[in-house]
Amino acid sequence: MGMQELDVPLDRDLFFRKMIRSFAASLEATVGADEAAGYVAVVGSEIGEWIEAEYSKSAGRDSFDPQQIAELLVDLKRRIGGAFHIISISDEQILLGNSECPFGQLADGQPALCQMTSNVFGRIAANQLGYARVVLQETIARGDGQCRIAINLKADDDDDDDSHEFFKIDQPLI
Amino acid sequence: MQPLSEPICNRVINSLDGEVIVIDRSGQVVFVNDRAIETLGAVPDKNRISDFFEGGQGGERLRRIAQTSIWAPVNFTLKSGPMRGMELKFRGRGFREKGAQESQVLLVADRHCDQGFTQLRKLIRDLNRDLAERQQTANRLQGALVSEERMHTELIHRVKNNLSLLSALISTRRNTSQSDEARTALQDLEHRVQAIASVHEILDRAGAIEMVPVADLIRSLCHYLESSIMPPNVQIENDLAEIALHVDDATPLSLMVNELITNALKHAFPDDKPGRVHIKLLRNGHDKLEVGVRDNGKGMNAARDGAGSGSRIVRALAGQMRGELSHESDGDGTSWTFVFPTSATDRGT
Repeated sequence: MGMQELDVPLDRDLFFRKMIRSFAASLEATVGADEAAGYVAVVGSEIGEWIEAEYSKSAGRDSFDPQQIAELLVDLKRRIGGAFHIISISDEQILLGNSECPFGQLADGQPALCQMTSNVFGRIAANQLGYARVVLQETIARGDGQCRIAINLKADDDDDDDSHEFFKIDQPLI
Repeated sequence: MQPLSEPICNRVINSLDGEVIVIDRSGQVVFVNDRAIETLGAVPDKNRISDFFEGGQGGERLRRIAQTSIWAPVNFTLKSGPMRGMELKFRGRGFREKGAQESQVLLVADRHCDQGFTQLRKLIRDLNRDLAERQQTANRLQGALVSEERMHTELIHRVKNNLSLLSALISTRRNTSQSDEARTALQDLEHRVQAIASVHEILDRAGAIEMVPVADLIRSLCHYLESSIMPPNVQIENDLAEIALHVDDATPLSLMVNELITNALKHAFPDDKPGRVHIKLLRNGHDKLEVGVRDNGKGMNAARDGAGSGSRIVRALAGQMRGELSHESDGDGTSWTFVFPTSATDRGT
């Protein structure tokens, strides 16, 4: 039997997912969870801006309202293998649910991968709506069985949980 | 838990070993702790972050980390100064002050993995030590200078006293001398010593060590001669510009003026004939001074009056000062004029 005929569960998608999971795990093990979150945030920011630019170009518009942002986020996840859906939308908050992680079983025990989603969502929402604070209320990676992600669109001075804030800054500071 | 008061927060932040910088969304520095002032010289509300660091990748990374509240590493390259080109490691994040609409950026030096700050701090320590050593050297030199001036002043005081003592000894010897020729010679000598002493007396009185006000010097000489040899039928007048001369030139000038006035007092007015001796000091052109001594006496006998020791001394002093000495004499009196270069004499005036 030739190698090509072997039933090996390996394709390009799985290869890259495995590679990213390995990168994330190695990074977290090497520099710690907090430090790793910083690197992921920078990567997530870049990916988020790239995805936002692609949707803007394809839609022929530069700005989206909260409803359209929610649909955009769900759609981008769908395109990469997620199963997100809109739970609720208001001017204050976009609440999304998810039943299938794009990383599949690879996400188990790797919450750093969730930070990528958080940063991409936060970046796109903040760039479009001025501000975003993302709260990962439930995640598959933590064993919740599903994801529940709140994207708050108004700054709340009393809020001091471990959520991450995102600001719109499009001019270079140096 | 009670929140810390603002003064305590400031003390805590300023006591941190690492640099803390807060910039606004435009890149303007709005806060720095003491450490950042020490190493970067950053001044809030004056400096921009771009004053210290290169843009490029660091600039784009700064924008990225300013976009979120998640701490992220960022490296900056120093833009100027002795450590120009060195990379400094920071961690930074965006943050929003309670109640504020605009976010700001907090940057904290990442000392754990940065040698740049270590080298920069070492350089600053070295520079500060070098500065302190130079300051100590400057203080020592300044102290030595003050000490030298004090010693010089003391020396002038002692020279003045010694010259006065010498003058008194000569005077005593003159008074006991039986010979007219010896008395005359001793009196001339006494006047010459007094002419030098006058220079030191003026310096001593002013606490100066170099520059002598010439008008004061000539007035002092005139006063001395009035009280010693001036006959009652003669008056001394002067017209003196306020000019200072270095002691090296004031001394021969004092001797010269002493000789010329003494000559006039001794020879110009025989038989109690009334007369005047006029002394003037003025600038002559841009770089010369002129001293004139004129009397309205009987005039000089060139063969007799021009061959005395006084005249020889005057000519020798004129040569020493690289000046031009001339005189005119007739039946209406004698006029001496001495013009000398200020470049060699008029220092610091």
